Amino acid sequence: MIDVQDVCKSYGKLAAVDQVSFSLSSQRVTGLLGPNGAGKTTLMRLLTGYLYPDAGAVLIDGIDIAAHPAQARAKIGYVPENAPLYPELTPYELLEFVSAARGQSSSRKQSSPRRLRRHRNREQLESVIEKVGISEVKHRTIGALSRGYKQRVAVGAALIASPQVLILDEPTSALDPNQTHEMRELIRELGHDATVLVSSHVLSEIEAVCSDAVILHRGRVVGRGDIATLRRELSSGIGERIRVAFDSGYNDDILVALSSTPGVAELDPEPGTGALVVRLQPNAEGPQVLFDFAAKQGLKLTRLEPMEGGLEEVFRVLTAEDVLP
Amino acid sequence: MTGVLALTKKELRIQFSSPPMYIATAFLLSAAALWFFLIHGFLARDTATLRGYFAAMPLLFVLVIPALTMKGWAEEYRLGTSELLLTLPLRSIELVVGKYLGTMLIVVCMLLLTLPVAFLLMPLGEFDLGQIVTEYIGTVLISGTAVALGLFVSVLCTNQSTAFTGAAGLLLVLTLIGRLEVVLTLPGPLAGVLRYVSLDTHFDGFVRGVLDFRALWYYLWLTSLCLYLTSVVLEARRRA
Repeated sequence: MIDVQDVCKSYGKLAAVDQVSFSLSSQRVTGLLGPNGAGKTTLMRLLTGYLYPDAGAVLIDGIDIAAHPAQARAKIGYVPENAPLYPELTPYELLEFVSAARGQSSSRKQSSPRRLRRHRNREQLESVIEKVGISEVKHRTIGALSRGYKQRVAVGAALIASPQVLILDEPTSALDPNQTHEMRELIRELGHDATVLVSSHVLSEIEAVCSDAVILHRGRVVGRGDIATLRRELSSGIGERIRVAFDSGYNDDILVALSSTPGVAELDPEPGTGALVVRLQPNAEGPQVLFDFAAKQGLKLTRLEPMEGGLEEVFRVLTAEDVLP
Repeated sequence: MTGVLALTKKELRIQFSSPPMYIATAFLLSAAALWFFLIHGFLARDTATLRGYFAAMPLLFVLVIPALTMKGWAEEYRLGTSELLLTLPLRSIELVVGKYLGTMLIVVCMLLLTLPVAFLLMPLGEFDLGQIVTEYIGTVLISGTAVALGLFVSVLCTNQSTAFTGAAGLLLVLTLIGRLEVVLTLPGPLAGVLRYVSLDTHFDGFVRGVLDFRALWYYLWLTSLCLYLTSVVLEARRRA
């Protein structure tokens, strides 16, 4: 549904997006992750046709957004960062405007009478208002609304005309915990019918909502795929983490001996459990290193548990400064 | 066309809820009336014509039109709403035309408010209705060009005040440039070029009640050029 092919975008000498390529299939919710300045917002602007790439192409459902912008944009709903809206309008007026502007391309093909179309549009408008929970403020001016409501109005504007692609830049940044929960539910629900790309700094949110992730760092993609695979691949790339405990506990001698054992990359005592978290080197032969160490030291292993890396760890490792030249 | 009209409607709503629009309207009506009745001295003259009233319009538009167009694009980029607008499934030229029509309708509403002056004065003498209609046509044309120029300046600016100053400066120069030969000795061809470029000199014929098609063509051509250039700048910004 979204095909990004070797896209580059520079601001002067700064390469904000550098040869980025990936594809997003339909009916998936993908998280776009990256530290500040990684190029997330620029990439989202390129995907929505707000900006055109210096090189490469963005295809939306096979349509090149730079060559046929209006047709490609008709398939996209977009919530920009900070949800910019017209403060003078009411949510209803704004949604009515977006609905009329977005309805342009489809209304040409519609053969139903104008009154029926208008009735359908109004029904769709009310349904979006209901969906994003702004019924009680729909006739107040946007300038007088709280940030949370503004965010929801912006999401509502993106949902008008049921786009096939939804691009949401920090969609829950201004919401309270209950609203955040509702928004996450809504995003999950939207992922059943549309291709959804969500950018967020909150990694737990990406883990809660997204099945896939694209990780950007200094304008380049440093990781992509479904989150479970990313975790697995990363573990094999940076070395497995194992929680280990010995019957006698551990002392300084054991710590020194274990940290100098070939195959052990890192060692951290786990507070309160008496266990140690050992990161093996990528080429180390898994738990065998620890079995051999225990046998050599005459220790008895009481725990040996492989640990799964969280998205936060994946993010931290992939966006570490030494990942790129 | 639906998208263009939707944008026009949105622009109208925003303009009607914006104080500068009301201030500009009050200024236009009161300044034109003050000029016509007090300075031009309509009541002291024994002529049934609104020529003096309309002759003041080009100079008044130097301040009034930028007050309406300054928000145009500059505010969209400052607020970030340009992201909402420029990602709609509309071509840049459709966005430009939609915004232009919205502002233009406001100007037409302002001009409709000048009608009572004409209606109130009609019983005082034998006014030439054809001349008044031509004066209104000329006023709509010159204001239309000024709006297109103002929106073009707005797309080049990042805030309202620069957009206002830039548009007012440009309109002032284009209004007065044709009169430069009155105060300066200019070579014939240069004076001719300046007269042709000036917004005001083309307006003279309409004020006298002459429907000048060369002037009509000039205003339509300049308006179209400004709208086209605005859409070019919008596209260039996408590629910047």
